[in-house]
Amino acid sequence: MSMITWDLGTIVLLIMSGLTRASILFIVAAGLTLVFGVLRVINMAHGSLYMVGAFIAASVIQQVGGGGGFWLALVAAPLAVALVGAVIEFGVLRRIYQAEHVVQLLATYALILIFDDLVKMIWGAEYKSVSIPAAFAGSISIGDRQFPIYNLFVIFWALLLATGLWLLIHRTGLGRLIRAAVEDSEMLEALGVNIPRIFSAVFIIGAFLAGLGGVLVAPLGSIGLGMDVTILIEAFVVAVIGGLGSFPGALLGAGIIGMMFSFGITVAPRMAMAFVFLAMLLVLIVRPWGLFGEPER
Amino acid sequence: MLLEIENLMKAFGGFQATDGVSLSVEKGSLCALIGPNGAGKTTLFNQITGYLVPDSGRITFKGAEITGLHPYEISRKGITRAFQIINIFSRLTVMESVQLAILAKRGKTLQCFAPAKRMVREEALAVLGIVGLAERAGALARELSHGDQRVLELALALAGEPELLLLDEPMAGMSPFERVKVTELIQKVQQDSGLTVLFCEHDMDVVFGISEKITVLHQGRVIAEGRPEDIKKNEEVHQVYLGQSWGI
Amino acid sequence: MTVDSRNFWRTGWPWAGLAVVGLLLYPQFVSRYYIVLSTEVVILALLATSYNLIFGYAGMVSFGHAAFFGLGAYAMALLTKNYGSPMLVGLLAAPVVAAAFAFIIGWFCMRTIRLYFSLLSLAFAQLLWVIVFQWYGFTGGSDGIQGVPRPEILGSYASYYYFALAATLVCLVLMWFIVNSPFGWSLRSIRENTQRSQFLGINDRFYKLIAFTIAGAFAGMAGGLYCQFQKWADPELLFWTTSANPVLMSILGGMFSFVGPSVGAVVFVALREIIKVRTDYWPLVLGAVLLTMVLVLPGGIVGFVVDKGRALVSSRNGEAPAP
Repeated sequence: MSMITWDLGTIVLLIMSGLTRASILFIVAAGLTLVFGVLRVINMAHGSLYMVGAFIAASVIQQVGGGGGFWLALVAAPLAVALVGAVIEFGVLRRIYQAEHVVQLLATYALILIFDDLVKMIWGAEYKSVSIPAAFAGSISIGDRQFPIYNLFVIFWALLLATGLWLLIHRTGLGRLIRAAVEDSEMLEALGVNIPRIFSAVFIIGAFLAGLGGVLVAPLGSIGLGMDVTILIEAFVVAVIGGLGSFPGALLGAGIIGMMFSFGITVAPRMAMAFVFLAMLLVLIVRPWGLFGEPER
Repeated sequence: MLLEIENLMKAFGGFQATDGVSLSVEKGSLCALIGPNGAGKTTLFNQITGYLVPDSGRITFKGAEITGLHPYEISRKGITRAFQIINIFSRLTVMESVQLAILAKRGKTLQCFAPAKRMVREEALAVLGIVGLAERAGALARELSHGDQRVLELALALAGEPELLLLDEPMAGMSPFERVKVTELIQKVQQDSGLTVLFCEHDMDVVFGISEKITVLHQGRVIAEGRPEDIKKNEEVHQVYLGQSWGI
Repeated sequence: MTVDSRNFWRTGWPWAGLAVVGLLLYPQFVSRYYIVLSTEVVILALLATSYNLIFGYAGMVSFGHAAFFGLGAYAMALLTKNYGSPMLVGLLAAPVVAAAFAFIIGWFCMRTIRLYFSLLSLAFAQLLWVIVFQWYGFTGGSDGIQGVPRPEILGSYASYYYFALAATLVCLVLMWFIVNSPFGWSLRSIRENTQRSQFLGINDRFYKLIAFTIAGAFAGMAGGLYCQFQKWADPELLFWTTSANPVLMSILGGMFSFVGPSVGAVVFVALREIIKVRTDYWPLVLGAVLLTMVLVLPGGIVGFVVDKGRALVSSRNGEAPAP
């Protein structure tokens, strides 16, 4: 058992750090779940896109330096990853939309292998680290504990994104098309809507989100070659628990898993990961389509 | 009575697909179930074969209740079904499909170490002979023509050595020549082996030509039942079919 | 050639016989490196074929098959290293332990279909991985269990090769019988058309559970053999990326034939060794090959060869090739 003292300050701190983790998870899982919801494809390479975003951010920050570098990376990296996403969508995914799930899983798994090595080729195998940009350096006090300001920035971004995505889906023309495509893409096609273009747009948005997650996470920890697999599994669990294809689900799922990690690592560090998989198991057994999802047609 | 259905009810959302249907089928008879589209014929078949569970009511087969049992349990009891849409095993050969159907009926499908290829060959070839698919025994099911696939569909149902055979629109999509062939087949099989057949059909020539008893379904309810001559004269049946091609 | 001998060569048995003879003689002519490599290929062929039992034959896409492989390996390691049991006991225990887990996991997985089945199998496997990875006291944690003892008569590379080959051949023959039995045909019918198979009288959930358990048992056997081979049981064996390998091999070699996965295993290892000599970037090449295969050759190598062979034979006989 842990040696920490349990008081209000600790709990608040744990909640806040859980929220930080949840924020990153939400941003990444949202992309994963969006792509599944509309395209019905599970993109295993989503974690790789995240990783590429982080590495690009690291390079940009290193080249340009300091605060300016971070802001540049925040814009450039997700766009670059979105571009990569467009290439993947055009080159690979288009051919396998109609294929069975196993084909899609294998094709995107192949992409993981390819990306892993490409990243290794371009950036080398060592870990990179990026320091927290000066604008967000320092921490605020919660009781007698300190909580990094940068983490608040991350949480802010997640909330901003959640709102933005909601607005996109419910208040824009594209969002309406997306919702219709989720319901019945064949009908839409019959009505003359350009489905391939919607699919591309959705995938690119998903890639953008992955890249954004990568940039935001960069100052939080070390950037290395295994991070795509780790985040993929976690984002997967979040998306499944929340319900594949559901944003509110991703939000709730991210919150649950973020908290589980935060408290789990403190209380029973070795089994924290196990609890996460247990949660995924329970959901898949009891309610496979997740908390907010609907049974697969 | 081989099959007895008592007051069967089944609703989907607000829609009552089966509304108090009672029906009985005598052993060894050839009975038809007719009704306009949407009358609930396939839903009824689905409930008899265990694919759907009725909301209320009873289905009894050979005196024992079978309501709500799994399809595989009902199949083992002696009810087999040929489907309206072709529902075969694409990558199995014709011979393998029929052999498997026979093996399944005889409860041999849990055997792990016997070579299936050599088992029940004569029985399988006999069934294929009856339906006229013996020359195509080695072909993959998906290589057959559409008409042959429907015949295979029938063969699978026959191979299950049933006591009650349910045929879901056996004539659908068939040419007039094929219809004659299949009609004769059904009659022959029924007379030779004393099989009980319940089929639903839109082709009125066939229905009035071969059935001994006709049940008319409309909006989930039985509105008439009796011999073909009586049904032909029935006022309500005529009204229900007004606007539809009666075809007599 | 007379008609009789041509048919004889077509049944496949003589080819299998030749292959076995080749496999038996071949260590006499090659260096130690190839013997070690072949041992690995043989064990992976067993793993891939066990996976194809549920993948190609029953149509179940499991992403957690490595769990049974790893569990078998750990059973062997724990029994022989920590409890001093003889190797044969470990080898018998491995499939039994794996089968027990497969039965339990399978029971839960059978309630789900398609995508959710795959995800659930993945979740179970990852859970087991975490437990093995973290339970330092029992499983050695991330270090695994090292220094697994091997009996002296199997000490040399060649002798272990023959042992693994023998064990694998026995398992393959057993699986061959299963696949061609009424049970095997039932699995295929479940894959082709689950609803229809139910209407034939087949309780598909039960049959799939049995198949899943049997496949798990053979995977456990492969795990036990592998553990003895590398004299070490490590948690990586249970990780989901290890689960991907038998999937790859089955698809590479052809999932609708019995020998497909074995062919896939050979191709996989051969490719890996050839590429690794030339470049560090083996995963890149593997990914590219896999991607190409998935997009271009759905039937795998065996499927491709069989189709081309059929076309060749038919055209020689003057018939049009079958569709």
